[in-house]
Amino acid sequence: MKPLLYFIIFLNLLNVDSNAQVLLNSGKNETTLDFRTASFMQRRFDLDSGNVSRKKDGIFLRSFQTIFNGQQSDKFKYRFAFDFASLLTKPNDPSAPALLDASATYTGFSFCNIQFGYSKVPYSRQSQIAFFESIYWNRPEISNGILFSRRDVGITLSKKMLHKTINVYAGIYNGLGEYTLSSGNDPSGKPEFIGRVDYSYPSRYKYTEMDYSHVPLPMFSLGLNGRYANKSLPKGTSFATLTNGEFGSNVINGKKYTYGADFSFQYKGFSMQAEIHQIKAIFNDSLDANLQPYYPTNILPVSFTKNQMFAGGYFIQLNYYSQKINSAFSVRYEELNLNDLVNGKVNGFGNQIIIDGVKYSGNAARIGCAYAYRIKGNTMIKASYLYQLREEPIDMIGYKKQIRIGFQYVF
Amino acid sequence: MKFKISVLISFVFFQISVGQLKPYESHHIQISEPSDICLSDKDENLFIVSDEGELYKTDKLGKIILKSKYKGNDFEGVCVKGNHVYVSDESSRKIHEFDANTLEHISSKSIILDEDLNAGFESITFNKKTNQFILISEKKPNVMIFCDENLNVINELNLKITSDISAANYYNQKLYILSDEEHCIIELDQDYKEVKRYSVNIINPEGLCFDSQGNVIIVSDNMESIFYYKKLEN
Repeated sequence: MKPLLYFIIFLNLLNVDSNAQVLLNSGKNETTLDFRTASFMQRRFDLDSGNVSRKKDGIFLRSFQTIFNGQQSDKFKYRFAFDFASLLTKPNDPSAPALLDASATYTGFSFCNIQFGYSKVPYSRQSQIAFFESIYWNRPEISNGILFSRRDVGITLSKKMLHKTINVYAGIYNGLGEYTLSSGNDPSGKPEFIGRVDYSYPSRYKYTEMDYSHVPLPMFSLGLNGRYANKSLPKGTSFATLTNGEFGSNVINGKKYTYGADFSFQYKGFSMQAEIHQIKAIFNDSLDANLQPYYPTNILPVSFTKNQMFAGGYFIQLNYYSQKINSAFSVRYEELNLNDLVNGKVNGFGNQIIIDGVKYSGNAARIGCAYAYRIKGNTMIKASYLYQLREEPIDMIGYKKQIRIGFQYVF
Repeated sequence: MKFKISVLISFVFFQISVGQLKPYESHHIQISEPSDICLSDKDENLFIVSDEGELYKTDKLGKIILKSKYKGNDFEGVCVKGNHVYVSDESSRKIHEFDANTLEHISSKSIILDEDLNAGFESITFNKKTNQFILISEKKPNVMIFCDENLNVINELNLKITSDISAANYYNQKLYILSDEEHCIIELDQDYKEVKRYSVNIINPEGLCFDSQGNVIIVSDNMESIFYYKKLEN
């Protein structure tokens, strides 16, 4: 525990006086330049038997972001954001890609704004919240990009109505997500369509977690979103490596429907977020790896799978921010089902999943909590703790508990 | 209109129960992210600035009459002195001068404040008695800069009264400041010490001014509305 102690002492010795945001201005053109960095120390406990490596215990650079926000007259805005910490390790990881944003928005039409380029897609409220806005070191699994992409190249139309209490987004994208930049062409040639609408009351509600200003009136926001892709591959072709995502279901050979809802509330320092998503995937190939999780030991017949798979999950998060002690507290519960054929249905089919004497009964579940000491704005000391209540056989986490403590600095 | 009724219902429910100030009138405005408000000398018009660097002249219900062709970066404070409107552009640290009738941009002057880009002068007000402008920064430390009528810096003072200051204005030779995070109007004495607080249940209150009768006008950024309150009772 000594390194942890030294780290905490080091953080306390920091004298934070951030003053590095830069404004470049020439006539009608202006650009602001922001820098942000975050590092944390991680330690995992109660490792699964056989998981002897401690390589995940250490100090990690989570992020070093440079963000350009620019504006040219009243008509154009642009945004370029890059994370150097991800450049060498995992440039396409949906949870923390190297390229965060490279987009331009035309704001000259009164009926809608048009954004084009690479940016976050308008799906999942939690996904829209910037990492540096959160007091956690991890997003909930469901919105972390393992079941659906968080960014893509495409065109987004957006309209804010009734004093920004209603926001509507609709867009067309490549559908390959974060891998669209590295995977080359998509043999299916088909796009993905995404739409979102959210309503807030009694005023606009920004995409944030904490109620730092202790709003004196109860505020809520309700969002609905959906996305659809039909990427049927011509015979003899395949998606580029890794495009399908960590569990093979981000991009599929077939039709993929994703739909979800989210709810957010805040009042006098208390806030909550809840979000739920479901995916229905219809595959063209009955031997697709997603449909045959136990291949070749067991081959599930088409009469059982109907060539379709469901996945999904939800989370609920409760937060409180104390202005007196500049501290934020949060607890979060989440469940995730990566593939319904692995859990309930297969058990019903006669293949019980028993590992080390433990019967795996369904969704993975975990509970987490977080604390942050807010130094200035989003410059914070953050600590978060995760406890795995259940794991899925296709996603054996390998540990039971994890603690992360670190520091994020917004210049 | 539907939205306005819902806002008022919220106020009735949540403000009567805790005995806080109640608006007697509110109006939505078609100005995105309004950040401060002031009245013309004869109470005829409102001047409203926005985070998008825009200056508007409106009627007293907030209906837009004129919009300045000049666009700044992040307008956060506005005040009137005679026939001129003065606007604080927070990120560029500039004070812009406009003609109150035409909203033509006349001049700009930089005033140095060594703080974050978005922690410049959140408010600007003019003290007619001393002929001085007062500029105040938003966050701790809340720095008050006193300037003469030509915007030359005369003096500087640190305020330690509230976690943030989103607006400031004079009425009857008393300085009142508005806090967004603490949701209140704070009356200060001549030594800039707190005299009294008045709770205001508004989401994201950003601008404050008084009409000649002493009625209070507040503009809310998130709600994009102006709220009228009866004269504060001392």
